[in-house]
Amino acid sequence: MRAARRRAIWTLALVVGALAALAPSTRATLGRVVLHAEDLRRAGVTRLADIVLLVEDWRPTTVDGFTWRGASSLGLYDGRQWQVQVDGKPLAIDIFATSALNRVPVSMTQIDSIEVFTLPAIHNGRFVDAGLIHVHTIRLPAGWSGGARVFAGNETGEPGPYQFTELRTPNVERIGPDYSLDAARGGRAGFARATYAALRSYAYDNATATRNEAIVGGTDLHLDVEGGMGRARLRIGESDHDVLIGGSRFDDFYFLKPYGREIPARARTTLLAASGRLRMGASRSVSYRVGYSRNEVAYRQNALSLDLDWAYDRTYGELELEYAGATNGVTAGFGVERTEVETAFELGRSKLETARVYADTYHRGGGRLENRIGALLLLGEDDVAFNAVWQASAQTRGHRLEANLSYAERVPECDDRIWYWDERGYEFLGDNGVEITRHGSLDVARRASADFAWRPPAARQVTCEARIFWRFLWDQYVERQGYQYDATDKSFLGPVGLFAGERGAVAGVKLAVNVNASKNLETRLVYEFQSDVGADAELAAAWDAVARHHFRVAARYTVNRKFGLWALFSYWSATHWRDYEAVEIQSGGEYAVRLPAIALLDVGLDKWFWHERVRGNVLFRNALDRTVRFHPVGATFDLTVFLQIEVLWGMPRP
Amino acid sequence: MLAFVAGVASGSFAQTREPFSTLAVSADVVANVASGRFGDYWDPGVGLRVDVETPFYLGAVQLGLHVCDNHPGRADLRDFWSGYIYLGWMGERRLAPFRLSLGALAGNFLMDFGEYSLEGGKRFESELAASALAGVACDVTELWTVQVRVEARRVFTAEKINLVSLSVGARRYFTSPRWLREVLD
Repeated sequence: MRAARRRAIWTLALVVGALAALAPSTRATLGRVVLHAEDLRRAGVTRLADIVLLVEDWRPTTVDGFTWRGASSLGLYDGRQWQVQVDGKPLAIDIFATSALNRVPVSMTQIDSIEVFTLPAIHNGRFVDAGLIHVHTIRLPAGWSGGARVFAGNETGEPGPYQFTELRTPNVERIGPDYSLDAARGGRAGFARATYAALRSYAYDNATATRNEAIVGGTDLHLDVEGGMGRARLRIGESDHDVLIGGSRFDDFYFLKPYGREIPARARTTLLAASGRLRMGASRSVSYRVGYSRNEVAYRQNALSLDLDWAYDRTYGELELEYAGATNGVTAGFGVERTEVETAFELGRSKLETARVYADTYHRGGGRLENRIGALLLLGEDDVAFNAVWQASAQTRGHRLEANLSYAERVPECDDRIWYWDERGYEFLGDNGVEITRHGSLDVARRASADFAWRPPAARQVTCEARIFWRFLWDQYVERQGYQYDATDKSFLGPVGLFAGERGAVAGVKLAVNVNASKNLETRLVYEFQSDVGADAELAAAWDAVARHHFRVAARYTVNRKFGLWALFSYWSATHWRDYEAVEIQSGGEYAVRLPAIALLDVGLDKWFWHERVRGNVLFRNALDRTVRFHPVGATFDLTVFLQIEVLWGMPRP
Repeated sequence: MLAFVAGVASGSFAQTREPFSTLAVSADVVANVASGRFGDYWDPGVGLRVDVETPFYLGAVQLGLHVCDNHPGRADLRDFWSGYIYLGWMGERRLAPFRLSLGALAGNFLMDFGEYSLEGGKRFESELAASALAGVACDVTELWTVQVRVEARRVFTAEKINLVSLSVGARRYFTSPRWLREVLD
């Protein structure tokens, strides 16, 4: 093992050294999107999870409309989800590879921008393999400031007066009310801030209500998140230090897919993280990041007495050196991470330790050619994973070419899916009647990706871009579950087959056109196609659940600084979820194996009042009022209206 | 919404007044003229609509309330009160002495079933509603106009409620107080 590590470290050193010598950047824009506070406000975003619908490269899915998952050309829904960072500090909020973004106790009032990575990159010492969401909060002015926000939504389709007639129908979802409060104090040396947020949602949808009522033993089907976060930033001489402390409690209906239903659970998160940077001259600096998090899924009253009984304690520390010159730069760092699991189940291994060594280098070649090369070596107790990415861009005669090439390995120790923990002794599924059959052993999964983009010169108010991409996948494992339908409570159960060693490829194309017809009206049209190519049977069938075609039109009409309109039309083609083949017949078509195409039109209005101290936003989601569903057994959504009011006090509009 | 887009696109409703500079208060008597399937169960009675309109960056915005008593159309049903509280956008074109207006409204359709709910069911229900509103107004004096308006409304209950109504009323113009302009702008 030591020999393997030594070899891997030398490989990393050689690769980075050689490439740095050749290297030609600044940050490439391919696969990186920045959603500014103004974009988020216009789009009526009130919860962090809402941004999943705004990211072009992701195909969203949800069972309850509150916790979202995403697939992209880089990974399936069952795979690892996005990583989350707040102000440069990684936050571990995932439970069995589900990252419920709304658990992050950040208030939308405090967000300056959200940086989303949809392609591989190295960011703050982490390799981005399936996406990363980096929340940047605002820098606060001197003196006291604060903000408050209230939000509520209502899905249409109530019975209304027909509740007294033969046309009676059940009540439908309400959303919220959500509240958040912020208070901050800024000074010359830094600032401190405290945030409180409370979110509420309901799971009354016909598709999920019966099984949730059965497991709760009543009709009180609400999901609640309550949390707070404090942040302090201090400048001492030439150094900046940033501390973040937070926590949240989430009364959830956790959809455990292998168990085929939601499990009432109380998820608690405690976060403590710090980062800092010491500048040594104009171009050199030393940075550190340390953090601790506890992520717990505790028992919440339910008729089946199901207790996931699971808690992670994670600690990490990283040290990074950076040289950032005008034409060349390099960042190199080292980090260690320790995960300890607490559960009553007897685990073969409950502690995992990994180390990371990484380097990231850039070169700007005379302003036309830019290169960025990074590599990260992850050293586990049993395996070593090598990850590398090359981002390049060139500009000539108004044409811009960009490339992103990557190679990624995933070791079992870093895969949080329940199957790995099941292998280590977490027998929740087995104890509750889920039969698991493994076809091959779960090993290091590998992926290579290539993306090339071309932007021709802008023609008047029109700019275009075209991208082609290809992913090669080796040693992937795929889960297949033959669900059987239980009509008594509309739940699903079936044996799971895990197929290891699957290989194949995914290829696609993306075309985008930006038209700025006037200084007030901006529009963007996007079409994306992706499909598996020559994949093994199980892998190919799994990809059928990810929409092949995606089309969207986004428009923003800015009347003036105080008032604007926003609209987004999104279309995802129909998908096939083979796990539910038997369910379709058994449920009489209530739950179908084929998820119809989704066409979603959102229209929003945003208005500032009283010298930009108060803001009101109205969002009509699914304005076409066509019933849509993002998961074969998930909730259905009709036209929904959201209202939010935000009050800022002493705080500049970001 | 379509009316809004059409209005903006056509540029027919150019803004000539300073935003929020005036307030126009209207009171209308509203009579229902068509109610689709809802009419098989209830008959919306004659109601009252009150709204306040002020110039916006484009066109004008209005805040209004329409209340009416819905009479049962069958012996096994009872009457209930409904209130439609809405925000709207209107475009206006002047053809002196007339004013033609077209716009879109959206709001909450509130229902109070009173004692009816004791028979089983919720006393209060509310649902999103949206309407298109068109009107013709005639200036009587500098400050007063009379108006006739027609509204087509959809309430987004599970079984949609589609209503068409005709209203007649009067409007009085005021200058907005300074503090209100400060708040709204």
